[in-house]
Amino acid sequence: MTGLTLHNLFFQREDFVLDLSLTLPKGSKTLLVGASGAGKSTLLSLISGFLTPQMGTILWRETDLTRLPPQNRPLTLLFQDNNLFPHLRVRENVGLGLKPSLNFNKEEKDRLYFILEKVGISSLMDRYPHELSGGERQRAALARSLLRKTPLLLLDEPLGPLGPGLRKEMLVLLAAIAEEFNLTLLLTTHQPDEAAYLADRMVFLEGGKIVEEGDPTSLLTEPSHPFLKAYLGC
Amino acid sequence: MTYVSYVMWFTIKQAVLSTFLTIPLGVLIARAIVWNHTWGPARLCLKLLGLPLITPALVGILGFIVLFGDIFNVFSLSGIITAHVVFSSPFVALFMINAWRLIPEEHYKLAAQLQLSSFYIFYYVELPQLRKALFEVSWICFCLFLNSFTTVMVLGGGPQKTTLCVALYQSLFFLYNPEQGFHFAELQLLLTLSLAAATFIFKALPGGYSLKVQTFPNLVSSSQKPFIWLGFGLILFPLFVVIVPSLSALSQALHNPLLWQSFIKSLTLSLLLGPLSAFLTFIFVRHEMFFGKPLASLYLLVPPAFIGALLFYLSLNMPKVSSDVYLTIVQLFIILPFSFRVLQGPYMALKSTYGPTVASLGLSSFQRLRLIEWPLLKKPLATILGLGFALSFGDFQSLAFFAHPEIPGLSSLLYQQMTLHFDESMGTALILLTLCYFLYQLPHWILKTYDRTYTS
Repeated sequence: MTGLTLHNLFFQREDFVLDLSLTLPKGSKTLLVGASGAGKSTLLSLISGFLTPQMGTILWRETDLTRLPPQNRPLTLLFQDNNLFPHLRVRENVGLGLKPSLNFNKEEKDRLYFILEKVGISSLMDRYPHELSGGERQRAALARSLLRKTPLLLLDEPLGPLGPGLRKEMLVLLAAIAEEFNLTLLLTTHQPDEAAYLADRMVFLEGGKIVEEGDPTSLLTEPSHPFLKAYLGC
Repeated sequence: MTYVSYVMWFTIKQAVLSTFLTIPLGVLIARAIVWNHTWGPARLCLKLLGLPLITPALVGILGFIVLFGDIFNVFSLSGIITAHVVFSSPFVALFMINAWRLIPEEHYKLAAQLQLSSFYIFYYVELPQLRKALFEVSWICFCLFLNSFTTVMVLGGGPQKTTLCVALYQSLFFLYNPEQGFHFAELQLLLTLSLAAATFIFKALPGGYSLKVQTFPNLVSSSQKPFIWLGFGLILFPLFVVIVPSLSALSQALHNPLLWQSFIKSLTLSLLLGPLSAFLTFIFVRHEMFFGKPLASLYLLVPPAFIGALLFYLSLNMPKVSSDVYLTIVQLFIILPFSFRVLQGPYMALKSTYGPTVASLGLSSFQRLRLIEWPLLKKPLATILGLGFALSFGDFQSLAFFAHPEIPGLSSLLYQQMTLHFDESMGTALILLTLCYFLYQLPHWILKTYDRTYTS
């Protein structure tokens, strides 16, 4: 079933041009790989509505998202850092996904605790972000996105600040959560080999264009495009 | 209530009221600019926010009188407070916009995804991050209003509407009562020490800077645009109402020989003070650990009027020293804290970025200046040179204490004309204004930095 469709998407800013088409099936987990400046973050900003393409369309199933403001799009974008407000406790940061006033009824509270439990940080809900590890902060951000019940989750190098152990732990959690909540994932990373077993699909971006895409295992072991070969050091 | 206690009460009352009215207005203008930063008028307004800093205070007040004189009695407490609000809210906006830049862009994106309303964005995203800057700018404004001299001198004065600084000045020059003046000087010293203690306890003055400067998030809010037009009005209206009628008064003013003598005096002083203050600022910034905090806080805590009064007492005992020497010292007290603040941030950024490399290369002090500091700090150095020229040329406070009776200097001449020859004063104001802007820009043109933003 088709999930996200990017049709002839074109965006130009100064000397950078992004020009591509891409289709992500619903429930798929896609790894977006490319060197710095390849256009990964720009692409996520276009999908999430923080940038507007000059041409092309962005569809979620049959709905055209191209001109919708960020808040009306069925997606959540998680960043490498600054996902949490530093002055709010974990439960408040996560609770913002339910309602901004933070006045919850019994049912909403139960849902909040359920999600915190789900990502394994229910014991930390009274802490502030600076009292958490990098992985715990990303779990809290993930919990909030789950509360929002958006079917598409975009992750802009969310594992960047984590060490190898935490990266693996977070990837396992992401895979399990995506499966359970039937999420469509689009994840950018600089470590494709680590993240590959989470994804069922890999897209390699270079200079704002898709130069290779397919199954992660085969792309990583037998890359055909010279850019991907150079990137992987083959 | 005695006269002295009344003066103290009035000083504090007008400062508190002015602060409470200036801060919200400045914040609203700042927020409107941040939220519409891609809109042409917002960008222009941002560039003009620093303009009041180099506008001679007397010219601004003249415009204020022309603008509001027919609407309400400007020579009153409400006139003083309104003038403070008009002249200081652009500064507050500029200060707050710099604080706004430090809010992570991701927080705005999160807020958009979470569908937070404008109120909740202010409450959850902006206010917590701006709280410290708000406190700092409120304290700065309070100190500035407490030590307000030129505004109170023109719009207030007399026993009913005077601040400590002006009462000190009036005791010396109008009442010829040095004893009372000395008493006010003691009170001013006490107030200065109290402010310094409060600053130390609450750590209220901004001491640091951040290299983590971000661009503004991609926001749009049409409902806030009226505050941008209000910002334009506050900055430009007082100038327009001076410039337009002054064109017809210009020829009359130009025929006054005293104007030319005063012009030459002010220009000479300005051309001396500009390089001197820039040189001293550079030296002080290089030795930041010794001079940094005290110098940056100097203007707020120790009013130039207080320095002027002390030097005036000194001049009574040392009559052979030229009044220009005292004038120069008071003006340095006015210019240095501003120019220090302008240069400090870029210099520290340069030091933290290239300091280790420079140290490892073993460059001498002169080589460091020629190869690293001069090329990379040319723009802020041009700004502090321009500031030195403009602030010196347009200053009234120092001239109020040490102006030569026969050649008073341009600001002092303008003050005399405002009370005796109002029409002619408009022509003098135009010359003062034009020269201030010209002198500010001159170093940028010569050094080819092309800074037309007035925001340094």
